[in-house]
Amino acid sequence: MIGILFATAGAAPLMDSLATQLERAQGVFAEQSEAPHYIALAITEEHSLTLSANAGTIELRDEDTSRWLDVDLRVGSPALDSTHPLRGFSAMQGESRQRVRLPLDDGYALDHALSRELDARYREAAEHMVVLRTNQQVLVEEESSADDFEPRPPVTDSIEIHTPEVDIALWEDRLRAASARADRSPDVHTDQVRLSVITQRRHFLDTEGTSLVDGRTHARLLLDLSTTAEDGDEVRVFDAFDVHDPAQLPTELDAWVDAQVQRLEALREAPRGEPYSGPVILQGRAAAVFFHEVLGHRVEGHRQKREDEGKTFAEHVGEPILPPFIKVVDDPRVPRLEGVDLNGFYRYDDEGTPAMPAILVDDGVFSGFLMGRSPLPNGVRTNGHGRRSTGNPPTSRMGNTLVSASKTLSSAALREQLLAQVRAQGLEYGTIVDDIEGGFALTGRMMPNAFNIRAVASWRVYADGRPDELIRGVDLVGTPFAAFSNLLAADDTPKVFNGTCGAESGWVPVSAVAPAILFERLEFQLKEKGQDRPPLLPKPHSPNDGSAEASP
Amino acid sequence: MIPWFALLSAQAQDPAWVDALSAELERSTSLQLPKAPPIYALRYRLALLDQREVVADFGSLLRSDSTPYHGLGVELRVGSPSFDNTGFGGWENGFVRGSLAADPTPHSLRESAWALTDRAYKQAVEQHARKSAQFTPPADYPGDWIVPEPLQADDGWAQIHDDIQLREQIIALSDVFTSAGPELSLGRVVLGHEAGGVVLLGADGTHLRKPLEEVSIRAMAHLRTEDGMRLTDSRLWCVRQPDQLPAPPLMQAELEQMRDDLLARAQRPSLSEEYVGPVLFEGPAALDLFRYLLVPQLEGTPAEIPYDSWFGDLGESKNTVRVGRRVLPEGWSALDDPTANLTHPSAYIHDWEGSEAQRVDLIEDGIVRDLLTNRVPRRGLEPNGHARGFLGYRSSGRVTQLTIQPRKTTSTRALVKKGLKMAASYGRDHLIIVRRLQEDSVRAADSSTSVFGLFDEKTLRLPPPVEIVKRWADGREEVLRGARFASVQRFILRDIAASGPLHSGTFLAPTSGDYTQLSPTEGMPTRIEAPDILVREIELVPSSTDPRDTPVLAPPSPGDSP
Repeated sequence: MIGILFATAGAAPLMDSLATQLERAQGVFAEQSEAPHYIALAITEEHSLTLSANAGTIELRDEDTSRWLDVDLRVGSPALDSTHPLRGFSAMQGESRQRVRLPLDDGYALDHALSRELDARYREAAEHMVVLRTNQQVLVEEESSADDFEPRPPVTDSIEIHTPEVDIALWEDRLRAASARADRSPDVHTDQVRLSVITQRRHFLDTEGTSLVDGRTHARLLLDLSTTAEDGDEVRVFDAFDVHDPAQLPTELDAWVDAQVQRLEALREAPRGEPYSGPVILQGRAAAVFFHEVLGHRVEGHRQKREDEGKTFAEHVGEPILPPFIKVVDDPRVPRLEGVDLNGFYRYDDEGTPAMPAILVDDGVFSGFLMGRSPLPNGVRTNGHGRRSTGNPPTSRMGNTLVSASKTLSSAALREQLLAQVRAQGLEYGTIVDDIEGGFALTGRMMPNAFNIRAVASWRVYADGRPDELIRGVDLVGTPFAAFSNLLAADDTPKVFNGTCGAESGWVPVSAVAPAILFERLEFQLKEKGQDRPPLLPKPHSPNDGSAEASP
Repeated sequence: MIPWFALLSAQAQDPAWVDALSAELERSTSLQLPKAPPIYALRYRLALLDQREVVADFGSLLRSDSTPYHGLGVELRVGSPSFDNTGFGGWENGFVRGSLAADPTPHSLRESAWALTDRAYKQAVEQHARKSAQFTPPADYPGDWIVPEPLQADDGWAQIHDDIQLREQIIALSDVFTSAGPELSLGRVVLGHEAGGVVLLGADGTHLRKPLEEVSIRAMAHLRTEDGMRLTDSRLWCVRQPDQLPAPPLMQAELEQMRDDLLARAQRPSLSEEYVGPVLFEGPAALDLFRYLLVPQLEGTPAEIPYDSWFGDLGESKNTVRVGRRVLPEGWSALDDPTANLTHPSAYIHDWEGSEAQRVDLIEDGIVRDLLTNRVPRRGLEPNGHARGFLGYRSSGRVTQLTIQPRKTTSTRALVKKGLKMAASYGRDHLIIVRRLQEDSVRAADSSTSVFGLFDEKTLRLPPPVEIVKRWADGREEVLRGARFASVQRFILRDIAASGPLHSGTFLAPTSGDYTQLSPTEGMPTRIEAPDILVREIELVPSSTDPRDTPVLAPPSPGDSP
């Protein structure tokens, strides 16, 4: 069982420390020539439990309690402050900010650490401001004239974060059994089954008067299997359950494990795909990740202000970019959808703003951006999407990206449309991307504004009626406008992707929900491939494989 | 908290684990790719260590971790002892390691060994080809490995002790710094405690069990002076078992003294001008001088042959160690004996490769006569049981317990008198005395610090002094700050003018890399015994201050916190 969650009995002493140090710092900094116009302090108390099994035994058992500090301090004025990016050679001056671990007790050590980080952030901001003013004078006028910060009325709230109970012994038995079951297959080289439960309680206080205590609990049960194919390809299959309460995790794991082992074995034997351009259906997690990478990252508000960003959609507000039956909203307030807990759920963002829905695409028309407290011209203001992992300044990020279609087909009808496209284009086959392991998007100006959806499993669907053929080793690539203009139809079965997204402000939990979607034409490229032969000797026999043969 | 360490210590004796690894070891000797050189040596090292790390700042717990370390190292050699895959630059060389399960089973151990051995074998075969392509051994090439006789020995096993009290002691010790209030920017105590052992298994039947046990406590404080200069100081206690630590009041008193000295030093003037002349190194500073300047000249494992890769040479291009070189004045001697003090955490009976530890007389009459070696051949020398290392690395001959003996010692008073006389010949009315050097890993504990530990043969870098004083003939002393050494060369040890009382101390030597890469309690415990020394000439220069680093917001006063 997880015992006492946090060293502190309650939030009050910690908030008192924050308030005292914030007030003291304000007084000292106000006397400086470069005074801050805004300071926010956030302490995240975190309890994590990780249990992991491999080869039928517990490989990792880790329980940790920690506290992390974030100081967001802005020197200058809301119109132009120290968070404003430098351009040119000056831009090489980086921020030295790192994760700051705090003592577990309240008292002098905590106050000392708060003060030290406040001082470090102030001195860096003041230096930045001096360089920034000259940077603004020397270089050409910027494309965006928006302010750097949006003042906001204070928010006060305190939300009780419940401590989940986890029966460690019981879960260890389950994980061991699941791992041993996967380990029976001679083709499964690693068979990690992992339970992680993390509870975070965040204490937020700023100079505008906002005072918040909130947080989240997240539990994940992950199965991660890998093998090496004869051609050297490192083949990996993973599947996970993400929930807000570990009690909601499945407890009967055999069928799940067996299905994933079968997937891995099938992929190991599957041929590698080839570079290809033609009709494609993205289904399951693949469609959701497509919208996350191709649309989501490009509509993050801060990217519309940077001179080195591609600003794909910045000038397209009010214009159609997708078919009229598609709507995309990012709404972090939704805890659960389609029977699945959403990983991107939160009540307040990391700037203390209440989460709000951000309508990105309405009836195919591009409608707006994901916004933190760094506003855009024409009064585009925060919608509660300022996010970060500790140790990073917040930027605008996705939460729950929800894609819906007002006109849908059944899955079977969508497949028929795929085949119709194959025939119309005179191709041998179309492709269904069934599963992905993630993806990434390039949004800057120095590189092609492309996306890559890291496909794990795809199926060739032949026009001549041959059975579908599983393939591996190809990724979906493209550019946003071209891809969107090829979107033809959607099915009626939304699927959820739960994951973690990494960008400038760190790794944040996200979800994306989308129906399967049909494209008239998308492109695949070869995925990198391992070069090692499979192990030269067979895997030692598992004691659970039911074989009578003894280990040599 | 689940006391899994208790469970593990019992399992460490489990013969089923050894049987499983032995079976995989035997099976793996059949690995043979067509036309590849055969395996001629294969060894597993199973490391099972219970570990504790506790970090406390100003009387509060910052972190407490007790995750055990279970690892397996595979050392695989193909070819023949006269020419194999080792001793050539690069990291894919046949020495690999991997983490093992928290709860190892015979099957999980075997599966890990299978995967690691497969990787090691493929690496070894490729490395052998790279080495063959780029290196033609000269006629007098001594070969790559001296094959040992199979060994069966049990040197014991260590068990971790309940350390709840130790944890509380660490927190209490760190509280010593609280009373310094806003003056200190860091007041930290770190505990590193590990116990367990290593099992060495060889395809030749070797089976050695040896204990590993160490308790290291590092206390450190940082201070920023008004002119922006950062001062640091630290203390290290490194023992085999907790009951060898000094009594808590003694440790606390030592830290109180360190704290007070550091605060006082902040008020002292900086070294204002360059100093060239004699310097007296006392106590820990003398030990450090030998640690940085002499120790590297005694470790005799040949450097790796550089691998001319597409991104530059991999491997050391220098071989700085010589037999027959004068390194100390006439009449001085040095020896290293890993069994000299068996209660010290550095002590061992069999070295990392399984060779029996030997006393080695390294320096006679100031000249290097022997070197510390392992089973990597070096012309004219035999293996002498000084292999130290860690899983996944080629081990090398290293210092363990070094004793440096001068021809004669003199009293501190006489040493100072002689130093003042020498200083007068430089036109100075005072002598510089250095009593302690900064510890690189302590300086690096502050993430804002950038420290570089690059060493080369000609210019060795000595960390800057912590305790430095001017001493006049009438006995007056003026404490200084803000000095660093310039142009330090190993030759200065030949120019030791006189020596004083003997001291001993322990430092943590890097397994690989340099000191700046270490955490405060990381490294191989190493003991040195040496005298205070008066060096004829050293250059000291003022170290720069950085007003940019002066805090705008000073830390709060302790009385203001609950």
